[in-house]
Amino acid sequence: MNRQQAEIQLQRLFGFSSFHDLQWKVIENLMAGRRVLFIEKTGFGKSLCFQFPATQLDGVTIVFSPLIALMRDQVRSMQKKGIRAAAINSNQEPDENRAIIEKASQNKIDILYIAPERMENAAWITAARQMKIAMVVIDEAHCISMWGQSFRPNYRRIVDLVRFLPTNFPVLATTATATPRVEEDILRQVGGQLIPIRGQLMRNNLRLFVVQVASEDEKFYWLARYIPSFRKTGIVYTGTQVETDVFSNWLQFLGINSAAYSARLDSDSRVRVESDFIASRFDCVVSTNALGMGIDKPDIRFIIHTQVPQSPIHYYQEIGRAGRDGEESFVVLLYNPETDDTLPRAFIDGSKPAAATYQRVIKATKRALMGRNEIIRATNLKQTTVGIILADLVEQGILNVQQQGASKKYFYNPDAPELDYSAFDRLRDAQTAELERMLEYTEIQSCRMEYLCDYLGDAHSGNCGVCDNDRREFMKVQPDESIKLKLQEFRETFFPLLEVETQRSNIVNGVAASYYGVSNVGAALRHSKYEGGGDFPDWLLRLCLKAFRKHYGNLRFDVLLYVPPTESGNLVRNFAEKISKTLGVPLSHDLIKSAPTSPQKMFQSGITKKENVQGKFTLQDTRIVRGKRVLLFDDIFDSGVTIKEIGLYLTNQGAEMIAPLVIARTVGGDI
Amino acid sequence: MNANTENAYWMAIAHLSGLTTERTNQLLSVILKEKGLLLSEYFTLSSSERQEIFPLQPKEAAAMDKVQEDFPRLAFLAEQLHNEGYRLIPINSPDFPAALKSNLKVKSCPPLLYAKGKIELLHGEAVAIVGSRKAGNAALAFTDKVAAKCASEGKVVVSGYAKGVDQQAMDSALAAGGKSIIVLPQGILTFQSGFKKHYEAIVNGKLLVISTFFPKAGWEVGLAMARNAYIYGQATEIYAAESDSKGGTWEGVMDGLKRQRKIYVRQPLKGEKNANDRLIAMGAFAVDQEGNPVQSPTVYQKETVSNVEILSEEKQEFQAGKTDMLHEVLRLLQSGPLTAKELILALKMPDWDVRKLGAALKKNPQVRVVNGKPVKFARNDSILHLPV
Repeated sequence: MNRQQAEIQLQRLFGFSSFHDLQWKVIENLMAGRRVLFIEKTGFGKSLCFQFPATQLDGVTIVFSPLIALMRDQVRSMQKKGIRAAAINSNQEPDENRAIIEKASQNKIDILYIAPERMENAAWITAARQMKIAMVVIDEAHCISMWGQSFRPNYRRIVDLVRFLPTNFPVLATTATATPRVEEDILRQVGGQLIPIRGQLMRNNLRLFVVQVASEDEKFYWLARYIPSFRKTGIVYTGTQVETDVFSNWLQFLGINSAAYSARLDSDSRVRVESDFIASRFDCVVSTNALGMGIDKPDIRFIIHTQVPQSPIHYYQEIGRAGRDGEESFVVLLYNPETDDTLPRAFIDGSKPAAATYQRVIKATKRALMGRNEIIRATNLKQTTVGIILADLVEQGILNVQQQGASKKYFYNPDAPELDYSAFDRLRDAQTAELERMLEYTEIQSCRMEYLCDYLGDAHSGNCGVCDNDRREFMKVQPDESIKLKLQEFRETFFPLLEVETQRSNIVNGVAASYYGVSNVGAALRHSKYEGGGDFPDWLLRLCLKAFRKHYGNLRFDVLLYVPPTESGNLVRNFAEKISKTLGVPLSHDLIKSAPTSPQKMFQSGITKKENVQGKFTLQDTRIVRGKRVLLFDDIFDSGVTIKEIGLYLTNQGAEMIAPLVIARTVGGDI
Repeated sequence: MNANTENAYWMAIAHLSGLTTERTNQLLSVILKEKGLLLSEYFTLSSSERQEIFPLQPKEAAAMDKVQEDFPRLAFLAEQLHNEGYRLIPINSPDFPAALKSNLKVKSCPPLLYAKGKIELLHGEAVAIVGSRKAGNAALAFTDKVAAKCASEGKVVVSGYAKGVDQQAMDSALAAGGKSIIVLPQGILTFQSGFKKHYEAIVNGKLLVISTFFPKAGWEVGLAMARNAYIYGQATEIYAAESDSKGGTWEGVMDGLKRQRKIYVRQPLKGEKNANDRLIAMGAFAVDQEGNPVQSPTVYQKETVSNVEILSEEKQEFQAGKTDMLHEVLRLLQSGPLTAKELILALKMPDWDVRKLGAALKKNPQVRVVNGKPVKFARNDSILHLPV
């Protein structure tokens, strides 16, 4: 098929009259059974490069894409044009997925989108072996590379698959962000036959700004001053989950319609925030970098970072989500040169557990064939730690993953090489070097977009002409007294939420008087609990009552219960008595432990914490909660497992509502 | 760990229907050795170019063309095997066991092995212990002794993971701190429960599991029979603990004898009902309950020993006078019914084929026909296990 013939088909199927030259170059190679790595900016029309050949080739084209929302939209628009497209993903019902796989096996689908995780699914692998596959597409191909830093273990399996495919089988890998080093890594991994084709990365509808600040407060002031002036809607990226909460509450406090988003939210809440965001129902969403990858929203008008990202790749990737429609969008980095490199440096240094911890996991996996949760139990390590270690051990060929139905087991390789810990050192050095380049970005006096493009291997981009340096226009922070007062007022009335609601329990989301680590509350608790400082001080009582009033308003409770302590004596009981007296809610001492528990902080993962407390609580007289509203008090809220377990138990005893109130909520393991 | 990108091609060619093992091995030899091509290169050639390299029969060529469509599917399977830590060892790999090649030759050496466990075990000196699924206590005790002895001598015990002798062989070898290889009668992906059960032995490098069949193939009698040859092929010494007069062990030993392998068969205890004696009569070496060569034969053993002696004599004897040959046939049949093929094998009668001998025996009044498939021949007056 020559270009002219192809463009006749293009008009007929997609309604476009012609390809860009670069698009045709890619398509021509694929149709000739070659492999292409296509690096091109967002919004260029990369998708057409595989959608078109998919309609022309005999068999089904498999598109691996991590972006569920994006795949949904692409499928919908192709279906409208009468193209046989479908997607299978975890958001759909198993029956629906099965029906689609069935259709694909019968050659009734031309283009099938799947998430990379699907390669872990035995049913899919079996089904794929029945299909006539015409082409494989790897979207977001930078995830293949360890150096891309958004490395995803699932992509390793896709790379292996491609390596096993015949050399004359068409494969397309696409990405918008690949440095020359990442490109080289992808070429090395996939094999030499991959032809790299690079487009231009310049995005001159994005207006890049860097704002240097001298304190954390100045970030609050800046947001208050500038967010109202931007077109809606946009994203504020923070460095931590807690900050999403704090900044989002600050914006709400100012009357800006904002929502917090992070991996801490349950999946229902996440989906809700995502869809409201896509429908532009918020002025902005405050999020960790968890939001964005899967969001297909062409009209994001601003992206603000309150924390410097780890590398220019991360940054280009995250800001690339703005202005896909080509219209002007603002991209701002708020940066405190004194302190802000601490977090990414800590993240890089702490990203890999100690060698001894790896050995602990290796030792456990040599004893029995176990899944991840069994390994967590056997080693008493954190879920995330075990996750990182298992992925690395698989990567190094020390463990193999054996699929047994829906469960994954980790099989120690008897011919395993020694753990190569130096690989992690090399990775850390590379990451540190990239962070330095990111910090350099905050200092430069020249065109910011040019700097990023240059870093990403597009050396001839030229100036964007619209960034702060090119236009000599800057967004300064100039706080006045009233905004300073507002921030102080916010700080005194902001109480952390405890998200504990679940379907099968009558527990409601509760409130903490403070975060443990970000105020003097933590120090006061520590003094009483661990340093023999006596009862919790009265000012904590006042703070608790304030939090109670703000969160629960005038809600009446029938009974006050407190979590029976493991080791700190009568501190909680005495404090509960004071709360009971002040609020006029009758106190009961009936909630006790039916079996001893260990302090939750001994346990590193949610699974072991849950097992520590499961079924361990009992009421001497269940009548005191039946049909009643229970206020449930504890001193510190960490994982929430204990509170949830009690909530479930009281629900089963007939409690109508269980409302948690605690003095402090921890911030990621700070006790 | 890098994946061997040729694996999908190896699977395609190893399990190609329409080519015998011998033809496949000949083809591989031409592609890899003579032409110095990779399989991936061979498969990118046109049909006619392939034909020039190695002429294929129309049926074979059709199978070769058809398998090309399977490559994407095989790639998925190859990826799964790689991810789950199964090793594919093609016949040209340095990891491929030399014993298997030299014992089975071009005619029946499997072109591809699937393995899980410490690959090194394939290169140790290996001893096969085989026997019936329903073996009695004497056979199991014998198996235990031989396996333990192998373990103490650092030899690897090879068995087929069937009930009875096979499992005893593996268990005893491992219990004695030795090493063992399981040759599966099925595809390697269908052995999940076994991997779970023997996890520690595999992980600690004591147990290696291999299979020659398509990874998803389930257990079948045919595969179990075929795999016996690979057990023998992998071993330098072969011990048979107990055999019936038919079934896997019997066929396996017969096949081994045909290949001129040295096979040690346990001499049965008095009153045992099995066909060990007959195997010994047909050329297997008798060993005692400890696995040691028999030193002082009993009267009954003398008979079998004398059979062996006869077997080693010149063949001309049978060609010269048929009477002597018939005499020997009758002596052999004393221990029980045998097929014409077995008789030819045992008596080394190259001038006779199955049909000719069968016809001759059917006419002989001293011999009766035992119906079955294949038919066997017995003495009209025969009383089993009666010493002459």
